[in-house]
Amino acid sequence: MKRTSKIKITKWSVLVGAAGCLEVISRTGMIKRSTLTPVSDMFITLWKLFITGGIPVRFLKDSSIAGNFFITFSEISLSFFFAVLIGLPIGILLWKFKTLARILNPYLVSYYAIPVFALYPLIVGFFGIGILSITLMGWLFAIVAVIINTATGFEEVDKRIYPKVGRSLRLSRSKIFLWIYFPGATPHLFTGLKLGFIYSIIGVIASEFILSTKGLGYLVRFSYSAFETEIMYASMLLIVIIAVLINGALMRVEAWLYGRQGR
Amino acid sequence: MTLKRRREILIKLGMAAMPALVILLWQIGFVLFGELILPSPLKTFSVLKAGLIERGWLLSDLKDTMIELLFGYLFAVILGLLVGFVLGMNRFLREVLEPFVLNVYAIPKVTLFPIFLFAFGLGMDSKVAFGFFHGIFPIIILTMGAIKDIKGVYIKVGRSFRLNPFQVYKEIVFPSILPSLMTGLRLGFNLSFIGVILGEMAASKSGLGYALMRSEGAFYMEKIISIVVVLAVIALAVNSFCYAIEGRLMRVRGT
Repeated sequence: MKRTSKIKITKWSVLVGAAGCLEVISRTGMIKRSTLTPVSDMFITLWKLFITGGIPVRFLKDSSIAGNFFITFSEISLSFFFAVLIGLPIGILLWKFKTLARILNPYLVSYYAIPVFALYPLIVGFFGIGILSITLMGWLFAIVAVIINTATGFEEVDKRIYPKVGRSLRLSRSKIFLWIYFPGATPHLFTGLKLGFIYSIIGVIASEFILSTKGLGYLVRFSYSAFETEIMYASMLLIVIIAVLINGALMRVEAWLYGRQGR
Repeated sequence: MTLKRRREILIKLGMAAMPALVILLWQIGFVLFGELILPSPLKTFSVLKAGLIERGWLLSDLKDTMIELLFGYLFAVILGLLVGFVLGMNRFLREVLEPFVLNVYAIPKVTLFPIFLFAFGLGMDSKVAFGFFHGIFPIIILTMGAIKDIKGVYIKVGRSFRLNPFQVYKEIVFPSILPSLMTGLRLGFNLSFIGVILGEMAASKSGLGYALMRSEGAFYMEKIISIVVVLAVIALAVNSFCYAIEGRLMRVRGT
């Protein structure tokens, strides 16, 4: 058997085996059903939620799964959009002005060391519970990754030969930027976008979980406190599936971009 | 040369001026929005001082958070090094398990916190476990990568010097993975810290994260900002210490 296919098969059997173990543990009652639902039931519940379109829990303000999904999706998109809109120009600015970059560098690299999430209660204090606070939190998580990777991306473009080629072709400065630096930096820029998007997802869903009234993160939180274990696991599963699918797709594109540059 | 030196001085001054700039903006915000929404820096610092020294409202929560962090991080380091080491040595295992390890990074792990609550209860144990769960992955990934990247030539040199396996580890493997190891340990600490704070914010009976949520409920902005400052200072202190060690290791290696 080929090595890669052997790895693939083992990978999937590890996943299926782990799910099977959880299934058995829950079905045989080693762990109570109110604590751990069987994995098959998680999928079934999730499927039911999608078919009926609603979540059969009382006191839940917005009980449609599509509605909650839509809210989370809009918060993620908005925070990502603004992270790119503001982060990219700042990154380019830092690449252009080296002194400024050196000044800000220690603060940028230690940004993710600080539990930025501690700012969420402060933001809620300013703007109240709602889409604005959550989007802002996602944005705060995402923007620095975009800034750092944009600056590194342009920095790593070959400075000796590429710009000379551009000048010998008598390209204007803006054209050199657009046709030489920009494509050269693309893989790094994409890494920034990938991290930015993933951080947006994490920031948004975590905020929803901690303090909010809508969204997928809130769904997990609510069903936990309402003792609706099945729905809780189903919504957890949904979040994990979404995150893994998006991460997988982004990593593929990234690998393709780096491979295309022949690095 | 003088131009270059003047630029260096400007950079140093700029770095030092950044915190002052933040406090200035904060003061402007206070003047614009008023006491209720954004308390003044001065008042906040007096509340912070009271929390740490005079009245001590911060201290018991700080103690609990530090204990949780210490144990969570300790477990993450021990198990993370072990797993990372095994995965680094065994190529097949690594290629099988790597996608799992990498994907956990992308999942909003807080949403899995109820599982930790089920398993470990509302007390400090669940935060220790959650801090561990956050911190272990970067340690695994960087240890694994470092061992994978040791150049075969080095090991061969060791063999030709007739080093025994123990000596190979001591003289070759350990020194060459040390810088990445330090980075892994630093990132692991950061994530363990975030994990503990998030766990406390989500559901807890004590700790700084819990104090944050409590102050949010009471709309006590001075306390919220004080806690944020304390968290940031702890994170920055540990990180600059780690950066210093990492820089030293790099210099020793001459890279």
